[in-house]
Amino acid sequence: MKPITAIACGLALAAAAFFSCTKDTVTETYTFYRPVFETSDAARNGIKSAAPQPVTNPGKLAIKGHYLYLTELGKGVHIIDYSNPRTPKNIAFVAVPGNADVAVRGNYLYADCYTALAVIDITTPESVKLQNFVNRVFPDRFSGLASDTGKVIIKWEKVDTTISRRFSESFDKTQDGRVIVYNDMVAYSSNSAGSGGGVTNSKGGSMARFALVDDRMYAVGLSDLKVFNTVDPAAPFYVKTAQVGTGIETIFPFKNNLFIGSQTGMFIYNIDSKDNPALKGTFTHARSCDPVVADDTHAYVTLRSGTVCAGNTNQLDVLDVTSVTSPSLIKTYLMSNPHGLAKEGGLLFICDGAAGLKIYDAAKPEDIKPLGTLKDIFAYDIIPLNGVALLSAKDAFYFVDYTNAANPVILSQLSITK
Amino acid sequence: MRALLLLCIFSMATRKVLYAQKDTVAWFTQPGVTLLNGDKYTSAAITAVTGVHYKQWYLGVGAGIDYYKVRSIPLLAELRFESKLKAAPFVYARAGYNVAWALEHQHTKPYVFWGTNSVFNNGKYAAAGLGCYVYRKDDTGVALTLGYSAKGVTELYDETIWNGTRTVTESRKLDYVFRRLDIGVSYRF
Repeated sequence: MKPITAIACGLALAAAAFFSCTKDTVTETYTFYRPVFETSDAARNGIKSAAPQPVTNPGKLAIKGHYLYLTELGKGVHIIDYSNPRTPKNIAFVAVPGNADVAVRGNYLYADCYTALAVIDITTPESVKLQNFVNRVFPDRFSGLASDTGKVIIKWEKVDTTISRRFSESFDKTQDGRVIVYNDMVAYSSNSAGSGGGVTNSKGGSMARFALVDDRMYAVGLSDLKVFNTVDPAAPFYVKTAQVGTGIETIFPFKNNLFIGSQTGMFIYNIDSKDNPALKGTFTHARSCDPVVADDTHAYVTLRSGTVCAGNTNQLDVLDVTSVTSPSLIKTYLMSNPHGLAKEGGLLFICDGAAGLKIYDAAKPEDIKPLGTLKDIFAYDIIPLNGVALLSAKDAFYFVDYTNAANPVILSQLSITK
Repeated sequence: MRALLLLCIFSMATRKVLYAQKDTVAWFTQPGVTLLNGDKYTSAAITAVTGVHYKQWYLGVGAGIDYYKVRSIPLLAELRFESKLKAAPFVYARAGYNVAWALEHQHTKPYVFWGTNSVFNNGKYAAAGLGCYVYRKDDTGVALTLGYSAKGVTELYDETIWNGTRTVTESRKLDYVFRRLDIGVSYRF
């Protein structure tokens, strides 16, 4: 072979190789969490009283009588006796895998157990027992991961992985949205209040997703509202689901209305027909997190930024809901970073993040006046109850005496173990 | 188009006309532009190399701006050997460091509203190829090249994921390797 021919052949081979080797690759190193399943029977057997455990990852709370029921996210419920708010006692822990929300009716604790609803007899808090287990009522809680195959998720394990793949994209990320977003709305909230059939219900806060009204329990998911019949507190059963929009966060019942907070607005559902909530009015606001509380004539909505709900507003909106079919904004008050809130009589309590707990005189909603502030805590949510408020904060749960609203005083605290 | 250019380079390279090479060390500088043909994407780069040559060997260092997918600045060393044929067909190899200089729209923006753009880390750069001169006079000339190059960058960002009980922030790392067929033209002086 002549040198020139060899060169030609070499060039041709090189060119062929060039054209076939222009595939871009990307090697991704990332972390994800995958569920570990267990049979429903095994999960049920795990629901029982245990010795009190330190609070490490608190979630929602409900109070009934002198007991505080505080969820340990994904693991269970702490039972805390605060008959003396100056010396609260952590008396028991109930293991409920996958738990996020909690409510109490009579002597029964309702707690979600991943896709199921567990009904637990708490007559004796130190020795609770599983009373009932309502399967498949929260199928969307884990985005289809636990779509009920007879199993429930008992834990999530962290997986670090590396994969390689071809990358033929143009690399224009202008419209990109690559990352999974879930709301962290399971954190720091509580439930609602009411009674029915001579059985009393627990009281909760503004960031609840379970609401007990008389003998019904209403539970909001990311986009729906579920109705449970709790006439027999020991044997609640699922009634129906209504679609209520997207980005649903909280539910607050007041009399015959449910005030539902979403990331883009507030919905008012009438429950004159208990099993058929009917949309009566809406109020749209800028996208943000927005717990809501209400009374006979007004609704109070806090909007905050810096969350998965987005937005760049930090304010309190006061709405006139005299006509629930056409709620109207009557005034906006600027806040620092408001989270949960509560209304008791003429007092309005706002957990304003790092700015602490703020108490206002809201006798005239169009002219709310500051009364007192509890500083140096990062306040999340609050349940006021006849002069003693239970305040969830970043570092602890506080029992606060607000009989003098101008000078709220911390009575005691339950530290959160990190 | 690619085949035509390949044929052109090949024909130039096979001319049986000797070209004198100098026996002294001399400086050279060679800026150029390159068409980068990659994975469903075509872009361009500009490069300048300067250094010394002795007889048929050229050794230089250079830098450029490479716009392929993620803009970057290759900092490279080049070794080239030119034949004595009239068109001075040559082979070259480059290796170096690829400094990421991504444009705003090339960053992944995690779909969390308070999220920040990703960060790009630098990677490696390598290239090799063939070429010849289509015009040459004294120490100046215009060369065409056909080559192959690869550059790497690493992208890092935080993402919000579900850990079973709440959202948590974890980091994600993406090591990109971009491979391209290079067709270039450069001017040597």
